[in-house]
Amino acid sequence: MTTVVDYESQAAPPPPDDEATRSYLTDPPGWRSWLVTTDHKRIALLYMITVTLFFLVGGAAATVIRLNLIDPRGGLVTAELYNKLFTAHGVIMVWLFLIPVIPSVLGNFLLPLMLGARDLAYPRVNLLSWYVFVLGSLVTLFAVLVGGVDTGWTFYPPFTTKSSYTYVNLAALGVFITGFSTIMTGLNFVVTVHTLRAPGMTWGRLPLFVWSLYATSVIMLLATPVLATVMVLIVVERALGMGIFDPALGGDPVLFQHLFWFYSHPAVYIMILPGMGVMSEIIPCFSRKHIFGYAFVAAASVGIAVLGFLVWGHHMFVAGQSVYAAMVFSALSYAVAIPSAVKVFNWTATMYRGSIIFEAPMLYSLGFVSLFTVGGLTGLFLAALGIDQHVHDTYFIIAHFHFIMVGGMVSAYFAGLHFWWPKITGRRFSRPWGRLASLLIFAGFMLTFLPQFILGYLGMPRRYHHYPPEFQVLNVLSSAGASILATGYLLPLPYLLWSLRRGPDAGPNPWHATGLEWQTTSPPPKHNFTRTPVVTTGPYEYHGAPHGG
Amino acid sequence: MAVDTPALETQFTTLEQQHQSTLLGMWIFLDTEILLFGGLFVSVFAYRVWYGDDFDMASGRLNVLIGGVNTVVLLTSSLTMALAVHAALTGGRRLALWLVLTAVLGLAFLGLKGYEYLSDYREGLVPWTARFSAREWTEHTPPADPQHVALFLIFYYVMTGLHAVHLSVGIGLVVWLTRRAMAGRVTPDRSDVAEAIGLYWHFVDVVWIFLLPLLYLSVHHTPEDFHF
Amino acid sequence: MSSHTNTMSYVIYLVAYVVLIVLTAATVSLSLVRVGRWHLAVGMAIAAVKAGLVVLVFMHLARSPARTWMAAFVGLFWLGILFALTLTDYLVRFEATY
Repeated sequence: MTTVVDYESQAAPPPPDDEATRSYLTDPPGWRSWLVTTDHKRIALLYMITVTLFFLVGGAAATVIRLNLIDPRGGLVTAELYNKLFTAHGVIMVWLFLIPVIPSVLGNFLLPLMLGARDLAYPRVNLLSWYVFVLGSLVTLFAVLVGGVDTGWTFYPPFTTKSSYTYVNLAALGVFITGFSTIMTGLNFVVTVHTLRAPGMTWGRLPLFVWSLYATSVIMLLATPVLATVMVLIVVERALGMGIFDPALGGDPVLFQHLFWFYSHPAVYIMILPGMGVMSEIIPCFSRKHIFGYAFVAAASVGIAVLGFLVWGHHMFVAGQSVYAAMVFSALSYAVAIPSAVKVFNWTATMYRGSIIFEAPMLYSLGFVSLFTVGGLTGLFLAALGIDQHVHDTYFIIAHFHFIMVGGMVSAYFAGLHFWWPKITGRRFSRPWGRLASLLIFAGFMLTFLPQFILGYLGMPRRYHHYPPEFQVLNVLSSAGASILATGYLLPLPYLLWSLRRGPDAGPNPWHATGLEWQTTSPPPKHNFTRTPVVTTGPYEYHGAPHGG
Repeated sequence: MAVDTPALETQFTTLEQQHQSTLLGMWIFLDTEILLFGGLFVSVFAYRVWYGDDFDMASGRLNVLIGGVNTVVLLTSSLTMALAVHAALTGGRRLALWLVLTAVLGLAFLGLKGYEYLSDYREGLVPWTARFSAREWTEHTPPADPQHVALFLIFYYVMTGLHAVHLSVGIGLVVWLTRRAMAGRVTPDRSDVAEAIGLYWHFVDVVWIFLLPLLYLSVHHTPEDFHF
Repeated sequence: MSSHTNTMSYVIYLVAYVVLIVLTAATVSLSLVRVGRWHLAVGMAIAAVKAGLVVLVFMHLARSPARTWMAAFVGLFWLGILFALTLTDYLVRFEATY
């Protein structure tokens, strides 16, 4: 257990004594206070509500897609509308859900708590980041839903700049704006980790979730600006009608892809690293065992952040970049798998000879480890130039990244949501319903996406509104799985919301976990701790099953 | 003058911690700006590998005198900004003066740049306007591909335009800071923001330092090229 | 009161400024000399020196803690990654459009 010793803070006066009895949820009161709050915990909830809404919208688009694909002729929508749907699905899920969800929801809530701090370094910037996110999201949603964009979330020119008659400029603007929110969050996190750690919290005692957020933030800061640049160039090309990327006018479309993927490949690590951090918190707790190889897991986070910037060309093996560049990127892509594998080994070794407790967070985590591993291994297949030639732009790719992003990342978010729900709300949710949802999600996921590996290998292209009839059986299986998956995703809404009204009180540490966040009340008071904690041991000091655990 | 208590925010325990955090934040923000401009720089270098000769010919037509003068203007503004920050940190009395000079020099840069854009337009160097003549380039000796010339020029406008936007933001920040200084609210123990704005200003200068050779000086000039 | 070890003396700022102006004059004058393909390379090299002066002196990097140096180098290093790997493509591939 991390020892917490009462310690009077130095220059800043301690908060008033009765503040400790008031939850951040009601202190200060009134809904208007939420819109001008600088409390990182409230901002986390603002983000949670927003990204959940966007997840539902993106999921609705996916539902229509899967329904359409039941019939090989494309039963439900026109081809034009289909193109707009998969673009909307991709844009919404990537920028409005996957990138912000764990950092801006769980990260915002937990980072100061885990560090023993009262808030982030820049609380007003934090609030601004939410408003900027909302603004950018509304612009983006308007562009893809009301206007409609048919370019795919990857916006490749020359189609995007010359031939597409859809709302590209507005979508580019929306993404540009949300990028600023990402940068603000990353900046806040990095500075906070450097300057606001509690006394005794050395780098070697940081929770691994913090390490993963730090690495994520570095990626956010260094990759997102290039996205901003390339969006500006797209808009300029459309506006001027002159070729920056258009080959007919002397430009190079591959240059767009270099700039786009310089951001977008590290972006996938922005999405997955925080999920991995959540795993490193949950697995030790529900194995009642210290994490195996703390230093290696922390180093792997940094390694992923660095190596992740060196592999973007593997999205362009068939795009026309030089073969020599492709070979370099291929070799580096094998290298980037190593730190991810290290983490999987260490989580598994943590579980080995532990006392496994099968609560909902752990079930989601087990799902993550298995599905992420499958997704990661298929990534190695794709790193091979020869294989990628055949399966690029097929359902193999789609299955690969959905295994990682959905099977992995979304499971990690649900795991974290369930793990920290008692801390965030002060309530416990229904244990049987929690377990049921996680199993439904796992089963639904497998049925949805395993057939897609086969489809891709057999040659079914992605982004196709209709397809050769011999692929129908696998598509129908996939769509059936999607219905189960959707049910599983919708299930937590009622039981989590129900817990807010009728769930039993959680108490400060219902899971008997280590970590500073569990040393304060559930929910925490406005300034997190009545007195600044002092850290004397590392995290994850688990020693077997707790009393009555 | 009333003595204000230092503005220590609740998440910090000491003023020094707050000071370090403000500066670190600005440096990290400047890293993002390096990557922002970096994307444009790498694009120009990539195309130069293929179209270097055409790019050089286009570059030769830019107004190297204004480019050079503007560089001096901006470097001088960096000096005045450094002196302003020095005054803020040490309680020097000329703080507001140095800040005003910085803003004035920044505006001078923008003025010269605007004039330059206008003269570029008149000389047919704005490729999306009617005055740009493709034939002028194909009939040049040696001939240049007008599409590549246009490509160079588009990057010239995007890069200097983006720089000008950043400079304008900087001028706005300096003006805001000047007003605070004149109200006596920038003192040695409330100088974090002044330092941070100084860092931003110098960065905008550094970007221009690299834009100058890339856009204006990649090719031989004759003395006749130096005119307003 | 915040620590002010960062700031430097008037004289250092002025000297740095003079050097910057001299280098600017040099780099512009260089364009009057026929050096063939070397204009850009030399120009960028001089620019790097000028930028280094601005960063070390005006931005106080020379007096800043290690953390700040790391921030500065990280930005440059990542820019280097962008350049190096992108140019592996462009240096090897050529699109003839004539």
